[in-house]
Amino acid sequence: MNTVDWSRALAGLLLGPLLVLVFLHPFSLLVARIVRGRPLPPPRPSRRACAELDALLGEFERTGATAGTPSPAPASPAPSAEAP
Amino acid sequence: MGTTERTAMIITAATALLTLTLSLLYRFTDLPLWPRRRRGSERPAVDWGSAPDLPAYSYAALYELAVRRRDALARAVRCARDAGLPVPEPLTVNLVETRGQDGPQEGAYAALALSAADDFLEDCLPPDTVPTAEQLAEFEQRAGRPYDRRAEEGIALTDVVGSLEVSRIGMQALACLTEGTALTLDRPCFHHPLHARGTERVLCPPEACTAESPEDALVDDDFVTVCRNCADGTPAPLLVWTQAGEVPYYRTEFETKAVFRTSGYGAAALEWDADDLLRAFVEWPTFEVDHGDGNGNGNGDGDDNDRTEATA
Ligand SMILES: [Zn+2]
Ligand SMILES: [Zn+2]
Repeated sequence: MNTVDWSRALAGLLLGPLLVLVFLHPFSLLVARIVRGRPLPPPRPSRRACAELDALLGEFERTGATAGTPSPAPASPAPSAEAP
Repeated sequence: MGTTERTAMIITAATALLTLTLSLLYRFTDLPLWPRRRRGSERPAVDWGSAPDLPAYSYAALYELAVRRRDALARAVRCARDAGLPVPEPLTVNLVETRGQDGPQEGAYAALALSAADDFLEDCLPPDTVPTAEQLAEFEQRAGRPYDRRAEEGIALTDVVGSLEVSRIGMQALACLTEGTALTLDRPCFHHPLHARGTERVLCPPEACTAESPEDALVDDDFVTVCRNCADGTPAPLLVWTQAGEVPYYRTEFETKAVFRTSGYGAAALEWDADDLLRAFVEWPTFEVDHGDGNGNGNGDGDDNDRTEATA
């Protein structure tokens, strides 16, 4: 009778990710690099940081990078409304 | 091959395939692979307008704005670093050599700007705090008169304005870093850095150039940048509440940081580039203006001195 020794068979649950970590993932990156013929895109955390930086700089450009915002009327400390 | 081995191989292959798929999706796509935690609460919107639309330039509102802009700059600097851009760590930034180095220095400028923005805000009284008895005593001892919240806030306002100005320079440096361009200063209005930007050049106003002590003389004695309104009409200077009443910041003697008066937040130091200005802002307690006469504006150490020192 074929009985499965589950305590040994389930070691595959660990072996699979280990195989990916040490071999399959680096190998696929290498293949991707060769097939694309140009550098790989940056990893996800770096892409996310880049997107957030772009958002922050975009906000800066939109709201403040221009020199043309009006200044408050002279002799009055209250600022006038900002240009759109 | 036994059943156990065959099962183990199937399990291994299945988990390997699943793990590989997930890891490649993670590496190459932006698909959400697990339910996202809300990303540290939403980022507050920041207004970078040069003339913020605030009620009568209230100290509390400007302090709030300065904190927001500083936080946005801090976030942007962190992101730039995570994205692999050359931005030095804050701890080493004061030691970073920028002059005459290879490659773009805009990353170092952004880090310097953040460091200065932090430094200036640290010297400011948060608007909602009540001073402790210790601080009250310290103020009386320092100023030789009873505690005056308005005087304290008036002087701190120059720091808030400095933080607003330098955060802006930091963002510009980051924008230049991502675009691969060189940072050129976008100078403020000499009279009030929160006016529109200083697009006009005028002769230095006489009341600013005749500072009583020689080391308070402007770096560039000839021209300052001012906004269009101040160039056309009566200038409305940034006023500091002192014992002698409200005084333009460039006439406050030892009440404010000397670097603000000598540079006009950048508007009066036209021969300074971004490097000079940021160095002056970061190293203000010891920064020496090269006057040729050997007189610097260094005020020794610490911020208590520059507010109360009576003699140079
Ligand atoms: Zn001079
Ligand atoms: Zn102005």
